[in-house]
Amino acid sequence: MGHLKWVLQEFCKAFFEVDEVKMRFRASHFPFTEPSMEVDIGAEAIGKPGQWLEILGCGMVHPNVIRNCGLDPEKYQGFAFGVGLDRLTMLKYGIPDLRAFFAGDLKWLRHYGFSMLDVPTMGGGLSS
Amino acid sequence: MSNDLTTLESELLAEIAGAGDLAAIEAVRVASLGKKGRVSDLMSKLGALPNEEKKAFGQAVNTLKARVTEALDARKAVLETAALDARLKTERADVTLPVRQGPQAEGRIHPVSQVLDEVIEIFADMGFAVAEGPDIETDEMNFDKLNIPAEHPARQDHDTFYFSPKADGSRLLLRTHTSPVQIRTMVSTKPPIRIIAPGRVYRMRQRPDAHADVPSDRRSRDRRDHAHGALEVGAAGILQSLLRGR
Amino acid sequence: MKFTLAWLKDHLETEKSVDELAAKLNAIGLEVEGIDDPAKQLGAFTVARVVEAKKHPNADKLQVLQVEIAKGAPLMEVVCGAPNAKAGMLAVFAALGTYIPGSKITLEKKPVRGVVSNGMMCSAAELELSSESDGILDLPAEWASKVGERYIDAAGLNDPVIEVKLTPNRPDCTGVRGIARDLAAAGMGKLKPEPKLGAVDGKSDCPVEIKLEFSAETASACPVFMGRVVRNVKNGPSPAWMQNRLTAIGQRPINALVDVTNYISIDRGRPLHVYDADKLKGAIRARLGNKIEKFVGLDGKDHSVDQTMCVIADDSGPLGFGGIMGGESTGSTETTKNVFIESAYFDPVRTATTGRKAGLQTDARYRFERGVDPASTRPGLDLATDMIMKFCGGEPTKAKVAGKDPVTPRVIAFDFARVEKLTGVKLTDSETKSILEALGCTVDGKPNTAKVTIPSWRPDMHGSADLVEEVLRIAGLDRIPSTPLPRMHGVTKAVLTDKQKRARRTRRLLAARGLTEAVTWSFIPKDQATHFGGGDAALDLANPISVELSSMRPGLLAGLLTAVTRNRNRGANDVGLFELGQSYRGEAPADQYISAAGVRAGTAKIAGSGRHWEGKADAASMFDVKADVFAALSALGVDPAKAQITRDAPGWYHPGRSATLRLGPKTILAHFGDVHPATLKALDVEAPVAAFEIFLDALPPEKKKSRTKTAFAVSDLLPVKRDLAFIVAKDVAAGDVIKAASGADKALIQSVHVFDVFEGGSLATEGRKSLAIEVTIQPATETLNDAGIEQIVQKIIADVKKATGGEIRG
Repeated sequence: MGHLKWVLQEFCKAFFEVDEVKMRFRASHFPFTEPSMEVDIGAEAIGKPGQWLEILGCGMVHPNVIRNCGLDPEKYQGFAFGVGLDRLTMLKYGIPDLRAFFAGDLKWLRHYGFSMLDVPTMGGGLSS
Repeated sequence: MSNDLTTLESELLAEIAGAGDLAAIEAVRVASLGKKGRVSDLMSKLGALPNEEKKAFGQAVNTLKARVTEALDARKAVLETAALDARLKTERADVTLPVRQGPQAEGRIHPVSQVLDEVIEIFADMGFAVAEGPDIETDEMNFDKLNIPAEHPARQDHDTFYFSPKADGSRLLLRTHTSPVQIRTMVSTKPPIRIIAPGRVYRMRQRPDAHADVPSDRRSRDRRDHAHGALEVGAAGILQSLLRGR
Repeated sequence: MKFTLAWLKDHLETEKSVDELAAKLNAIGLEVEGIDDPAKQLGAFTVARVVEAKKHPNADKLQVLQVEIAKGAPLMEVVCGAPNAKAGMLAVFAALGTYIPGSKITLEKKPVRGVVSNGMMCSAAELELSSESDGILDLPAEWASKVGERYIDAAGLNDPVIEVKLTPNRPDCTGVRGIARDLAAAGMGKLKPEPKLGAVDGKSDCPVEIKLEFSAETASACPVFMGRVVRNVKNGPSPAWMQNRLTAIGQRPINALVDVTNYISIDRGRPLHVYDADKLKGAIRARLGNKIEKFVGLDGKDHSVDQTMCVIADDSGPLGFGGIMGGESTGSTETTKNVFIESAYFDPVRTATTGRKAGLQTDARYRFERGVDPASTRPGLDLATDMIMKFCGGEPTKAKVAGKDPVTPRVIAFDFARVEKLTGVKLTDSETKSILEALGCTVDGKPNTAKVTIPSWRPDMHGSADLVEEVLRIAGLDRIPSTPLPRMHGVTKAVLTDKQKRARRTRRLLAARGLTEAVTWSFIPKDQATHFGGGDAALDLANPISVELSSMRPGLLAGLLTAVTRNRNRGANDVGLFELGQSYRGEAPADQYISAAGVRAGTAKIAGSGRHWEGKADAASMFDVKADVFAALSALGVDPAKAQITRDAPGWYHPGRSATLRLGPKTILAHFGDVHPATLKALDVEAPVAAFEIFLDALPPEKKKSRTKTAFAVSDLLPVKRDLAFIVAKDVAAGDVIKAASGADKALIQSVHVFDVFEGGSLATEGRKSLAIEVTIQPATETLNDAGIEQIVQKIIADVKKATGGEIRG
């Protein structure tokens, strides 16, 4: 779980392109992980201080799941997390309405879309 | 004789200076240096001169020829420049006319695709590969193997899109998360495994936008028409797992 | 799950503030959805006494009151419009500057018809205590000593309400006591001992018979059912403190008997039911229902029953759904004299299924479907009896019990070291042990081979991972260290497969060609799916959200064409869109395929859309999308010149202006062309639209080239160009002419371009056309002389004639 925490911290920092992201880990429950947690980030990362935003759920892969894949949970362990790309997109780029994502509206797409030259790279910065 | 030359030179230089365009200067050139021009004529008189005068006369004519040529070239250059200037003056375009913006100004990448590329980039840096799987899944892959028992609320119709049951009673569904990809990978690959599994997931929601709450926008969204009902689709779920031996 | 702070403090001895408690609840997995603190809204309102009420001098319907707002304070003059205001009454007073939540105004000092009002007397609606009210609040006379106090203190309303969102694995926390136990374990205070009950078991037998009428297979529906009658009760309103708590969490107090069961349901997560014993006919029984039965529930509605549902019945038929809702006919009312209290256990799965079928979401169902503590049947019954006797008097009978508690002791073998192994958190053995014990577990044995007995109220705990989760969540997730993930061995490799890389490249290439990426739904209307080659019933959703989204898409074009029209309806006429994504030929994983499709509608050409002074605004056509396809294939490492172009694109393309690009008879790389007018009509799209589909999965894998480039070799000899015009029949394909010409000398002919096509004039009437080509001949080793070039030209002319019948134009 230490690795999980590190990966999520690194991911949030890299994704929101900030040096520090406030993160809050809350115990939760999912059938396929145990222990499970939900993760909130401080909305400072998207320029809205003072709020917590729930962004993902995660945990250690449930022993039953490992067993169901033909592996021995006494020998193997792992972590898993799930996050909505649509939600990440809305948070990072300040896009309000989810349904507009699938409407194929040229005006919307040109407003919120990206140039083909904006290839995200770790070297050049993801969004700049 | 030399007076004649002097006179001729001043006449020609005057004609050259007076030539108003390139045609006129060409006419002067032909009339002076052409085969039957006045300077060439002088050379033909050379044979008639006494030998002792030939050399001096020849030199004088050559000098004259050189001066006239130089004057012609200089005048020609001036006239050419003037002619070019005059032509360019007529070739004036309206530089404010707009150009086409070109395809790169019109084409756009969808924000979700862009974010997917960003996410892949970040996880690639940490050694995660990208795994994929089908959207149409079985109860077993989407639920059973993920420790979600048959009576779990997530398995009820109101959360999951199902296809019609088959003769044997089994039915397929649209995956509600990308965790089945994790299962498929764990079954087919030997640990250690480091993957992310981006892709479309399908879930019905009572409130279509309950999932997408940027808080400040909640109020305005609630007013939108809900013609498409309760649906949350196209959300690219992303999930990964790391497995390693102890 | 809602409860109040005072309620929590019945079970938890704590000095912590509501905010501290909320933060801890969040941390341990009991997510706080909201805290409603009445002091924030109603703190400014006070109890006051109306000393004098006189008619307003200038208005018939108004009164001018003299109000005592604090003991001995000078009287305040207040204008009041309520007809019930009268001298001597106690009421709620709001001073100037107070915000009135019900009317959303802040009181200002201003005269009302010439009389200045120094405040306001408030109604229940103005305080948002009820939705409507008839006049101002008329407080009980015994509150006379409370004049000047805050209204919320006097009324016992000063109690913050906390709402917690429970995960489905925590039935124990559907009761306030369970939440208190978790908080106590997490260091927020001390769990108070259970209260002592009076003598609840009477001497006489319970007169109501209880029967469990199940087969061995269905006995789990209700394994235990016990009850007790309390005789000669005097039903009436429950005590104010109980009513206040129930009201605070949004429940309506009914009468003492019903309130007690509702209260215990929230307090202990233990639902109960009370019957008017005199209305029961014969024995009470738990059994499965049958199709012809129905009953009227406590909600006043008819409910149908079927053979999968567990009902409680008497001789007259079903009375209610077990564990969900009781019936109207046997409910206890103000006049109930003899009450029968039911305490039973109902199976979670059956309760959930029945509740869903019946469309009933009740507090009882919420608890039973999560799994009520199976050991709580008797304690629940006794607690209810105790409370009823306290509030309503009466004499209890003995308890009657049918079946037995379905309690199965669970012992989990646990190695304490597992906590650190799974979570990275280092805890001392005693810390681990005390957390487990605080949660109700019994821990025996050594830390590495402990035997942990799970309490009956935690049906969710089965294995050691569950214990780790419990220990971690109580110890605190912030104790998890952040540990960098070790790098995988070896050099960083590409994480994308070749297919994934191709998809990425295609996406950016198409955007670079002026197309905008859309993402559309995976499901489309059934008729569209059929139109585009799908429509197999196996790919229809059984429970679509609407008919517009009913069938899995066989391809991407339906979604894109629909988007064209949607854009046109919004005033954008020239629409260039593409999508890259999955479609479905069938239901098997292998039937899902990735394609890139695009549409160019109106003048959405690569140079730019719309009219422009430099040239005509031609509509985008087949050749624009052909260029897209060729560009994409080239970018993906497939030479489009090597593919065959056949005239057999699917039916949604214009039959004469479309083509399929293939490698051999089986492998289809792409379709492109103008969209068939009938297709456009069916999808309500205005013509013309050109479209393409590229099947990324079908492309042959890119050859792995050596990273080193081949040597740069270019001839010093100048290429020679020759223009040749052929007259051919109108239906001769230019591609055949090019192929014949190129083949005339494969070594020397570098390229063949068509630079003119002319079909007009006399040629048109003859059914012929002129095709002019430019042939580039690249000498290899020596400059070609005129004779050598002429030889090649003659060979081209002969070959073209042979292949197409074309004659060189004189």
